[in-house]
Amino acid sequence: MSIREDLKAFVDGELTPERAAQVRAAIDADPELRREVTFMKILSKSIQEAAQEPTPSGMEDALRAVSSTQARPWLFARTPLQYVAAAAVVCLLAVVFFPIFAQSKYSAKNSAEVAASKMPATAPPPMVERLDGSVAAGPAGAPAVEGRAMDAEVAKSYRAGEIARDGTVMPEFGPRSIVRTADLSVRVKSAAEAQANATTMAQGLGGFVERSELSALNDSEPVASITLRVPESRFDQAMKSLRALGEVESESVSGQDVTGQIVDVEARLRTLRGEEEQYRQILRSARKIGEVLEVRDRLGQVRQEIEVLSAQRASLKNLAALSTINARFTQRVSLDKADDSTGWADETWAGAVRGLQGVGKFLGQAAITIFVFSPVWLPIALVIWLIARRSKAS
Amino acid sequence: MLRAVFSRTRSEERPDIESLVREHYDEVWRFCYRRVGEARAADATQETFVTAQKRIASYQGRSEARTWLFGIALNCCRNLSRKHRLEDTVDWLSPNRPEPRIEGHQDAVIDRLALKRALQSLTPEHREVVLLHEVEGLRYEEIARVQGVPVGTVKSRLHHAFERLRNALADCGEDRR
Repeated sequence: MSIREDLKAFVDGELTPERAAQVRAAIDADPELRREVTFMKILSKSIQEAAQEPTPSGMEDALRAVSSTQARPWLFARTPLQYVAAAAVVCLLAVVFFPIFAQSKYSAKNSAEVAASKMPATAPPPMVERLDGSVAAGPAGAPAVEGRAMDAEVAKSYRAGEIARDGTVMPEFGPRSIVRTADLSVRVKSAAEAQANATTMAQGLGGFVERSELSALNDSEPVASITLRVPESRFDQAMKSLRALGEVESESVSGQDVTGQIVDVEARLRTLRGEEEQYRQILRSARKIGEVLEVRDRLGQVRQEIEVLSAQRASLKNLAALSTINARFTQRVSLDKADDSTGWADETWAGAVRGLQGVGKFLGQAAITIFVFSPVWLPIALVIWLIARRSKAS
Repeated sequence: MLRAVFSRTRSEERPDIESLVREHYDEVWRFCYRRVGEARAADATQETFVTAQKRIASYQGRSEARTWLFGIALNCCRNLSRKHRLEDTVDWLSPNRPEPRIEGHQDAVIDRLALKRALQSLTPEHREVVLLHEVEGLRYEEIARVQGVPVGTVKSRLHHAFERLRNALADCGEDRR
């Protein structure tokens, strides 16, 4: 500011010592400035002297007004900014913990539902008929014997193959009859070579090839499929050998226990054979032509049933004796090696592009998150801005 | 003073606004009188102290009690003037006081009526800063806090206010040297 503009401040003593000295020197050198300073002093004095000093009134009313305001509890004796900060913290906690709370509530509900679905329906235990003809309450879920519930001990014996369905106690049957079936998918260097190796392996284990197929729809991926039958005792060894031919892509093994079925068939065969013997005895003692014809007719039916059941038994035993392995060999596609001389540049470029994509993805995620949470932070920010504006105005 | 009051009040559950009222009521009343007139000065003063009671918790002690209260009073007076559409007149000049004399300048007299007219010709901002400095006796920094403007603005306004007063009085032939 110029000397003239600082005159008033000089008169009021509001200048720094250095500036005051400059102004004083200028005043001493300029009579015009001296006159202005004098006038300022006169004018200032005039205003001060002219101002009225009336007697104030209304203090008691003011004291009553401030006394009537009740002391607010500590909870309310806070600044607006503290209220906003508290609201922001509450919102933040709600946003952070609500999903966790909802998830735990859902998990608890889901667990309860799953547990409820697993619980068996409470039903009265069925009445069971024991082998000795007595009737008693059996355990729930026990297998039935010809339509009636079986008690625990009888069910155990039935499953062990020691008794037939009719409760007949069977002689010692021997080991279980399991029909094992496996499906295996292997990626190999050469499908045809893998197929040949599998064939040789199966024959070496005492088995045979039930079906073999080689397809090459295009030169890039030939596929060979083969169905092997190997002795049940050599099943695990065969699977191990097949896995070693390449990289296993998928594998599944299933087993069906047909022991009970075989036992049933054997029991029915024995019954039919007994029936056949009875018919033979009747035939030997028959005298009339009509009786002979009728007995021979019945005998024929029984023999036919025996033949069917014998074939069924043989089939089950054959399936149990030889396990089935369905193997699929997919030839690996050979890729040319990348040129080492350009590999580092391409890798660097690819890495840089991925990095840039990552940054862009992050920025996009941040923008979306901020936008989605705008109902939370926007009102708080607005309140803070309004309060700050009011405070500044006041 | 205000810090002592506040430090005392912070240790208690209830703020001691009554001490503030007793110590500063008169000067706040006169402050309001010069802006809203005698009829509404008590209302404006009461409103000032009620507002001060609400804001005691937010007071940080950066200014003196009087300055802080004057800042609240200025807003209360503006609100009251706006509400009642009061005219901004210079009625706080006493018409019956003897003319002031300056030592060494016994011939220097300023007519009270001319002075009133000159003050009336100022803009509200210039008149306000003249009131705060010349009548209320606030320093430049205190005026800046009350009005919420920089110190440089206060200095500039005072300079221009006195310049305009001088020109106005010169027009009336009162600029006697």
